[in-house]
Amino acid sequence: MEIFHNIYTGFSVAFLPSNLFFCLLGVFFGTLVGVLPGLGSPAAIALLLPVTFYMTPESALIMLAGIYYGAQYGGSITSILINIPGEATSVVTCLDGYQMARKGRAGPALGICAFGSFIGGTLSVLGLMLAGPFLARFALRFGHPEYFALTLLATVALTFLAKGSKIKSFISAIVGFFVGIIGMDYISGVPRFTLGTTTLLKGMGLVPVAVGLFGIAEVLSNIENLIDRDIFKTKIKGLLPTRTDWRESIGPITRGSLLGFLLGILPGGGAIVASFTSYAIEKRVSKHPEKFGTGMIAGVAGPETANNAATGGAMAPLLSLGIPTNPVMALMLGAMMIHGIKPGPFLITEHAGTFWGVITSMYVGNIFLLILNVPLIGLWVKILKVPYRILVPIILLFCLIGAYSIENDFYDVLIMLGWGGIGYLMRKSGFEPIPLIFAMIIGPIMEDNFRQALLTSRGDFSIFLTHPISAVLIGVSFLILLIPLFPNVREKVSSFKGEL
Amino acid sequence: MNRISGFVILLLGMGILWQGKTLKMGTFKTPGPGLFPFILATILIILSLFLIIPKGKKECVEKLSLSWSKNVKQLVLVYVFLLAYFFFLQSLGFMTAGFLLMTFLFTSISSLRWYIAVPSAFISIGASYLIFEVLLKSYLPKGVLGF
Repeated sequence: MEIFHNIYTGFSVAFLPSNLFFCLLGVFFGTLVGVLPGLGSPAAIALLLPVTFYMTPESALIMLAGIYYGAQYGGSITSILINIPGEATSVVTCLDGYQMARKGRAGPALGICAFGSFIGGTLSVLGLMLAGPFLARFALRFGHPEYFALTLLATVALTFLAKGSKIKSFISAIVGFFVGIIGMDYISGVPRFTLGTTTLLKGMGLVPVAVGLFGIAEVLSNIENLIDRDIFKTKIKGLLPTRTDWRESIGPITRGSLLGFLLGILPGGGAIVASFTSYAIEKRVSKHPEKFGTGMIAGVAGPETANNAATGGAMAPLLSLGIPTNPVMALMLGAMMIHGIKPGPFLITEHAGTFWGVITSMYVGNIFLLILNVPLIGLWVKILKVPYRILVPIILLFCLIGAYSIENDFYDVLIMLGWGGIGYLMRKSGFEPIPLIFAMIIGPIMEDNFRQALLTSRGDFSIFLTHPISAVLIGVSFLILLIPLFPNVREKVSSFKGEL
Repeated sequence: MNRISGFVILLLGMGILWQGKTLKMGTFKTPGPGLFPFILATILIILSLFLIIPKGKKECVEKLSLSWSKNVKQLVLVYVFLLAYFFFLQSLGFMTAGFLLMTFLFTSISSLRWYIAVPSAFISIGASYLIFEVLLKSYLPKGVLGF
């Protein structure tokens, strides 16, 4: 009965007119961001963080969550129609989605994306409703060593799964940890690495750094390679998939929902890993694996379902444990802290309305997405036709205002521009910015728990290994770190990545 | 390129150690504010060596050469104008500095003619003023001219 009471609490928050509006705004903006190459969901969330100051915490989180799962669908539209993924999570959709469009089946491809996303998103919200309270109860057993170990595992896993050189990804993460601890040390009250300035006493702001790394740097990279996108000219008709399409898609959608949710929960996982893994699995279980890449609807249905299902999964550890498992969730954590909400096991009891409101709003948001995406596909195609060179000045203006308006501080603009330049150079030299922003947010949590654990154990490091949960999490982290040293395992991982 | 970035990372690690030398390390019983940065800087320095020192014929990380496209001049110019926006924001205010920046961006990046770029800049700045200053009650900086 408790679950029905919780659902009732959630819907009573989600159905408030203002929350319905912000949910709609979130999924609309998310789809827009997904459609427009060059501005991903991390940048969009970072850009809109200052705007959320004027909302209630529930409205803010409902809108930001809407952007996250809205962007997953938006990204697939560009993958199918122009063979350019709007989001990293839609990269794999290009393989069969674009081929379907070339064969005149853009409609069913877009349709199955919308339905798959809806089913995956909805099932993952159901999973979140069941897993959230369970995880929260489990998290009550967590002390400082367990939280330290969990943050360590999340960082190691995310860094290991980042594309490109592992060493560079780890360097990015370490720099992120360092950036995260700049400012006043809240245990001793000593300023650290502030260079004698008062601006840095409050630390490097999340918004200026994130907008610089994901917004400005992305725009600068795109200016360097300005290309006019060529939209595949096809008449989009028959968005509703046929019976055969459904028969071929129902398996991938079911598997994608389960896989996406589970991978979303795992540290370092998330929508990108979920979509790639789903594609690999569908290819393996298919009777015609050789046809993948030629326009198989299963190659669109599975990954598109999985990436949306992963959004619900990723919410579970954030809301229940207070630990983000991917960069977007790390930004959500930042948003919650800005609004004075401390996510963790007590969120369910202390902010029941917020917890269940955000979760149930995702049901509503998924329905909005279906309404937005099936009939409004023509609108998104028109938006796709807006040249990127027209959008650049507007994106830059939004970044500049966003960075300033958080605290009305001129130096936040300078910090953002500085990180924009650094982010551009990082991209040029093969350093991933995602581990940096993730570690920046999670770094202070990790340091706090590391120091508190040592204080509790009076300097005895065995505390991290005598607590079973902590020992397992640290063990898994080390195993991941050791993978590159074992050629057999490394080759298997590489061949798996190759198949993807 | 890897070697250059390796040296930059090495310098950053050494810089953290240098800047952090005034912070108390404490003991493991009572870890001070300098312990975590010290650990980070040490790891950073070790990792930078993987980029600096080549490992025989097979390097640890793939070789990377920095290539610049023909648009790099435009990119540098945009960045300089963005920095100029920051430096003039306080004296000119958001409306004027923003209008000048947007006019430049619309003409250089969007390749719009000036008679289209100027009204576009005016509309975009006016719209953002309405959204942020009027609707969201944000305080956009006002310059010496009072707007």
